Amino acid sequence: MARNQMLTGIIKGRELQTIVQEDQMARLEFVDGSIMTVQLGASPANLTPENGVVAAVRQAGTTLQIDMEGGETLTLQTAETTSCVMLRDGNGTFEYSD
Amino acid sequence: MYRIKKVGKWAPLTAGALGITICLLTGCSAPSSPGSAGATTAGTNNSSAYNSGDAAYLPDPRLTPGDTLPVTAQDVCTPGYARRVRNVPLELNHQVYQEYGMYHHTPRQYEVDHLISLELGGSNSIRNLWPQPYFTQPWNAHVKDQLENQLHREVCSGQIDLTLAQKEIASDWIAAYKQVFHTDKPLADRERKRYRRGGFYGGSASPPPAAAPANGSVDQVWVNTNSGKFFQPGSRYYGNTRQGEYLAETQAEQQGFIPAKE
Repeated sequence: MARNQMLTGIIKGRELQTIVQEDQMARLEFVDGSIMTVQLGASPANLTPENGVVAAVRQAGTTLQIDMEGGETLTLQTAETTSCVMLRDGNGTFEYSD
Repeated sequence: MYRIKKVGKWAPLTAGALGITICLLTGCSAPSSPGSAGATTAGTNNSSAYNSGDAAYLPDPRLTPGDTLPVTAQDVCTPGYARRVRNVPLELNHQVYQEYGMYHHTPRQYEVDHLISLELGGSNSIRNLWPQPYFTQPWNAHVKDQLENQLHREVCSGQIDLTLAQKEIASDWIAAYKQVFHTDKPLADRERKRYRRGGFYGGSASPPPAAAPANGSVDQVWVNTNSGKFFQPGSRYYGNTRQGEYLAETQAEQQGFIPAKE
């Protein structure tokens, strides 16, 4: 699965604090206050790991994978190939969208 | 082999180009996509616009109704905004062409265009993408770029609401172009520059009224609508440029004209 270079460059090193799931949306909250929202195509069986430091992001089709430095991977199924991921920093400033 | 005339040379007529040629003659019609059902649309998706004389240059509203990201005018007006949106993946590009029945096309004849441009908060969803030709005349991808840039300027200067700009460009971008630039045909670069200074969109569907010069009035200036500058009474250019009109000085400034240095 190909690495999402743009998103990896932005969130690599950020520490994931918690994941909140609301309906078909997952909200990944980082320790620095930034928030990534992901529109889900299917509810994941388990949103783990819920925390850790991001090492890389990989994406292909509707699969989004976030690799943690510890070796674990969070896998999410997005609703569409694009237009499902958005990241804003702690001040609410737009950082990334796919 | 069927051939179609390209600018300056003859290029093989591909299935895609043939599709567009048929569109030009008959108006486009494509099967609806399961993926487009129930999509959130930014445009009005009205069939009257699609059935107008310019329909051949518009995307199929069933396939490409337009789609936006949840962003604000402040977001899209931040320098570098569009660069922070991921590029359209190659496989999605192919999917867009296939959706329009184009299985082969010549490079550089089309672009996969965002109906609502990224700069106006458009998304990378397939509902916002369509193959737009470069080679059609008078309306093509280059002309639409002019509209996108102008609307972005007007959104960022507060002249027009972002949501309205998204709706206008999604429902019928050619009608929006005509309204924004007050023209029936694409403008040359030189003509278009005047609009960079202020624009006349957003609450004003018609050009500024051409006021007659008031006799003896010192309140009115002469604006050169080509250069974007205005001249005070007494100037040798006052009322004496090829294109222009009399306006109150405050009105000229509000519309973005700047005082000429003499």
